Amino acid sequence: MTFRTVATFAWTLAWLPSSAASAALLAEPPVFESKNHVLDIMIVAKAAEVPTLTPFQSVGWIYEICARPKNNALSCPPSVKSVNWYGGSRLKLTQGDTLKIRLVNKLPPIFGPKHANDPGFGYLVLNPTNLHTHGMLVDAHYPTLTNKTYGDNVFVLTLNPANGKPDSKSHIHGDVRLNFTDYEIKIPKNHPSGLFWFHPHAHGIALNQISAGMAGIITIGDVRDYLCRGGSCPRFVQDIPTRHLILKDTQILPGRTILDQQEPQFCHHDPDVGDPPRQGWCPGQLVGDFTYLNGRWIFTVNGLQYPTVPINSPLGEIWRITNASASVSYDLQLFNPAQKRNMIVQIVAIDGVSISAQPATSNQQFKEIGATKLDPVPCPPGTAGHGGLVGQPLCVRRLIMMPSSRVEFWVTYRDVHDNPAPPPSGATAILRTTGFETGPVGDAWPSIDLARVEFHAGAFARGGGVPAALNVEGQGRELANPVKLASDLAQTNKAFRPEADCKPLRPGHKRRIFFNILLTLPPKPGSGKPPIETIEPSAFGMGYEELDEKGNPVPGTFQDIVPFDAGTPTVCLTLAPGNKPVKEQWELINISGEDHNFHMHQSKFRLVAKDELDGTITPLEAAKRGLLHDNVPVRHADGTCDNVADFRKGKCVVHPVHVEIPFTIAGDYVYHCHILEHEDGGMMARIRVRAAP
Amino acid sequence: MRARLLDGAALTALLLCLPLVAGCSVSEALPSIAVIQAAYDDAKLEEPERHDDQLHIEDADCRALEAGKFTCQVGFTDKRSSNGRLYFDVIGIDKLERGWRLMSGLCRR
Repeated sequence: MTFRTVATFAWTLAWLPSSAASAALLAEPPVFESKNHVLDIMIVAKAAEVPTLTPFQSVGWIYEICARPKNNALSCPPSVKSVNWYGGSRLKLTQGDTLKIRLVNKLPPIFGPKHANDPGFGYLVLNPTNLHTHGMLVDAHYPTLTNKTYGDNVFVLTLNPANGKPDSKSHIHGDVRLNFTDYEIKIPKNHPSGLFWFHPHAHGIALNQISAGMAGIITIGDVRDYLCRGGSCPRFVQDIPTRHLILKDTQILPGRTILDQQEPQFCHHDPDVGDPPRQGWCPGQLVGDFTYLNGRWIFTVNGLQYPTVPINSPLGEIWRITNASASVSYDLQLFNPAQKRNMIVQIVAIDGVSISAQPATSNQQFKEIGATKLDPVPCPPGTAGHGGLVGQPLCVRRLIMMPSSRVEFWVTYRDVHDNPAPPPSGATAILRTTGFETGPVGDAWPSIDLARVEFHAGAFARGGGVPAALNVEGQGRELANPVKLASDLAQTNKAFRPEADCKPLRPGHKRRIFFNILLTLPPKPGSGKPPIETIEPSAFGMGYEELDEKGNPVPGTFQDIVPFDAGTPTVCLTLAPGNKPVKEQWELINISGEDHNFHMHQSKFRLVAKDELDGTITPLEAAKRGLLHDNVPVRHADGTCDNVADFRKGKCVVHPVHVEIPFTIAGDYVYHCHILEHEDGGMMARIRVRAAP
Repeated sequence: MRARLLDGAALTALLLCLPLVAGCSVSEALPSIAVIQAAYDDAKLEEPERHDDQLHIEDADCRALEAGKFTCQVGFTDKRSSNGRLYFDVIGIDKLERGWRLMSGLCRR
């Protein structure tokens, strides 16, 4: 294990006052790298002053990381405490590694979390926490007498005993521990190379903990694993630098208190006349009876407000971006002020899986299988230096990044014809979000300039090896049917033995998942009680039904839209014979007036386009488009549907998203909306996947 | 104050000699695994609808909150299951005049 944490970073820049801090150079996140195929670390979740949230000296909640102390101490040595952990660290792993984490809870109690008043959730004031390795295809094991560690399993909470014990009315589903929890996560040999992240997943306060700073990234392998496959690796690709950008946001009240229960209307969507430039923050406004005036909503890249990103390489850089915000969606663009337009970037990976699109995949097809994340534009012609591309390149001028999404792309200066070119002196660009609105009853996330990019001319290799497009030989196609991965996971899958009530989906059938914001909560079946009115439309829920081969609901399968109930799994399925992957089609139906972002744990999935739905092409052919996700936007409905009955009557027009999920990992896990205000509010469901009989 | 409990009394006795935090007197021993098992068995008989059945306490890590009141992390197995799984919960347990009483935890899941 190597710890380059402190030595390689000029954190002194982070301590500069507000005006000077805007000139800080973007540094890479602190790196913790495996050695001899093991990374054994302790992550301490704690409160700490965040020096870069200027002009405030606010106290956030951060992950302090160090090698696991040999004396079993639950604190990191003082030598690493000068790091600004708020920005997020990077755990650098390779296939076949074992990630060992001792997660220690030293968080203070939370003051008035929104959901602590929900029945049975009083324990949330104690600020329990846990850990999820988002997007990773790893097992979710439980502890046993011989191995007391957890896999990537969210059904455990760790309490800080200094905060007291749960009240007698608390009802916690899953395991509860004091002080710390040990995780042991084995990275399968056939795990994709790519970008993942880790964050808390304590239902009811995930928003609070992430918006206060708790998140970091994980990388498996290297970008050259998919830019240099097949043995040949042009010098250009060997030399291209890689940069990691972690996007976070935090709201700070007048004074210095962090508003961990975030308010989506904290700022106006666009600047008001006379407002200061929105370089990394926007000013608070009046919202009803609440005043956020003199407060700030701060947006950081690797913990810095509006840093400068110098691109010194004549080859440009590969950028790996993570939306580690709790609820914010970014409409991300790289704006060239001289050309007065957004620059083209080439996408090489999405959600931790590199693209492997077959030649001649059209931009319309990319748009359909990329959902609203992507707005593809033609890539500039020419493949000089690579001897031809094996796959269809994918280029965009803007990206919609909803919470949890990751995108990797190639950034290089481009001329007015979009071809890579030597940058003129003083060439710059602005990495910005122009704000994103999530529907008529959704949120209007603000427009913010996130970073200033400087292109330095350097020794641009004019005509000598800088291609117009990169040759991406990705893993998207093979992971659409992850047979090798299933083989890696055979042992842990067997531990989740078959259960009588878990049955495979019948051939030709689909599962339909409903999303809605709840104004009333349905009573428990058979209780005879009327629906429960909610005080405000703040409860979120998911519903379920099975569809037959004709698309009709299967009688007896409907489950109304209700908030998350950890004790009642919605779906139970078994792996295919031999514990091979079992592919299921799910139809995601959002009947609310607000967008949601579907995320499935322990899985990747591909979107099913129109031509596959109508039978024009086979699923096998469709999978060759090679683009996978672990989260996907589900657009709001047009019109008003209060419930599923309204949807069946056609009172609203929905925009279904069809996904094919190759379930490969047995265990207990969840699917949910990754807008954490919604997840904490109940838009989540439990799924059981069991070994084949 | 915290200590990983062993069935033997030696460690408990040692802990009693340590300087203690406010509210924890030297006369109070931390509940042992056997004490917790018995308190759970009693609670299950009294309120079978509230507590899971057939649990076997495997280990415990307790600390005193105030006089006579303790909180423990307990590891336990489910005798009805053969999956080898070890479960964890945090319980509240009080020492009353008539003996130990499980106040919270080990509820139905």
